[in-house]
Amino acid sequence: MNKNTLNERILDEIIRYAVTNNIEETKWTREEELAKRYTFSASHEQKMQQLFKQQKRKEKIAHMKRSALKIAAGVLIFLSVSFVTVMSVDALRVNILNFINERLDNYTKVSVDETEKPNAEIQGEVMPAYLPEGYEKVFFEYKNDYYFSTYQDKNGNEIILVKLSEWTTAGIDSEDAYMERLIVNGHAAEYYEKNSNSTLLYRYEGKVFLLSGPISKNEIIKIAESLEIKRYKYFQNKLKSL
Amino acid sequence: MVKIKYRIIFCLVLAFVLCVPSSSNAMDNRDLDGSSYVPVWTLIKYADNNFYINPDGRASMTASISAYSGIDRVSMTSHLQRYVNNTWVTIKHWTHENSGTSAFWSEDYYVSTGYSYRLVTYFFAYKGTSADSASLISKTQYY
Repeated sequence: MNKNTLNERILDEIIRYAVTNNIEETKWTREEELAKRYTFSASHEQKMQQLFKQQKRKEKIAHMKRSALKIAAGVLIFLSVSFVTVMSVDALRVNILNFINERLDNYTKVSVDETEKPNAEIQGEVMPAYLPEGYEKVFFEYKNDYYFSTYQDKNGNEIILVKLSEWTTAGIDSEDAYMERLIVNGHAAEYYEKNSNSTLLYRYEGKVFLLSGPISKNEIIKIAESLEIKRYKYFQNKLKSL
Repeated sequence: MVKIKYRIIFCLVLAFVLCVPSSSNAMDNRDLDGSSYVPVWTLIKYADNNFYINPDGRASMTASISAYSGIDRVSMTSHLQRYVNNTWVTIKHWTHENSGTSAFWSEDYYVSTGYSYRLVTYFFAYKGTSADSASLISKTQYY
């Protein structure tokens, strides 16, 4: 601290001391005496009251704004945390995809949520137009909006295609399986791989399907994307032949 | 006062964060007839059961299983259960077996009115001397 600064500070302290003493010694006029000495006009009083009211209103609005901001911030934090939590819980997240998955210790339980109506009502069998070389349909059974079909090659390798219904409870072996989320037919799908077997859970025309077999990921996706409504194709062919 | 508000908001957020995963796990802890049942799922790759009661009282049931390659045979036992006196009672059961890696079973059965019903299916896969089992419980339906 140099000399000038020190002098300035000393001067400041002297002034502060003098002002404090002066305030103590000053005899302030009391409010009652002031009221007797000065009389304000009615219009002045009215204006003053209005000013006070305006000031109070301003303070109130400012307080409300501050509170609203705090509440908004709180709600935003709550929603963010809720969203992150909901999206991190598998059972809830997959529900958005029209099927509910519950990841258990040994397997994944799947049930279909039919509250979301399909985009188009599927009339007739929905069958894949593409099958890997050597595979052919060996079994098909349909019941109450559910069906189970199998395709086999000469070596006995088997691919299953299942159409799950609202009344289906299904289980997929997912213990230690490689799992991936994909987009198939424009919808989110789940892919599982274990013991050289691929399983795909996906949607087609608002319905939930499962494909599983000892084939590659690319092949299973190719089958899934080749699904078509057989009866529709049958009528198309009929029309073409006319 | 402001501190109390923040504490309440923090507690609510914390409670929500803790509650959501636990409610999800609660759905997983389903058991059969009150007893804990742990499925194995080593040879079985996929299984399902379907249970629907038609308006005329016809319970329409299916079950299917698919096991990994190299399995000798698979079988399924389905129990149609009715909820009576706070317990699930099997009123009829069926067994279906198939040599190979997959099997499909289907059955219709008329049920009485005034009860809740469900289908419990036990799945088995056999490979030499080893076997695998799993089970699934359908959605409960009242007729």
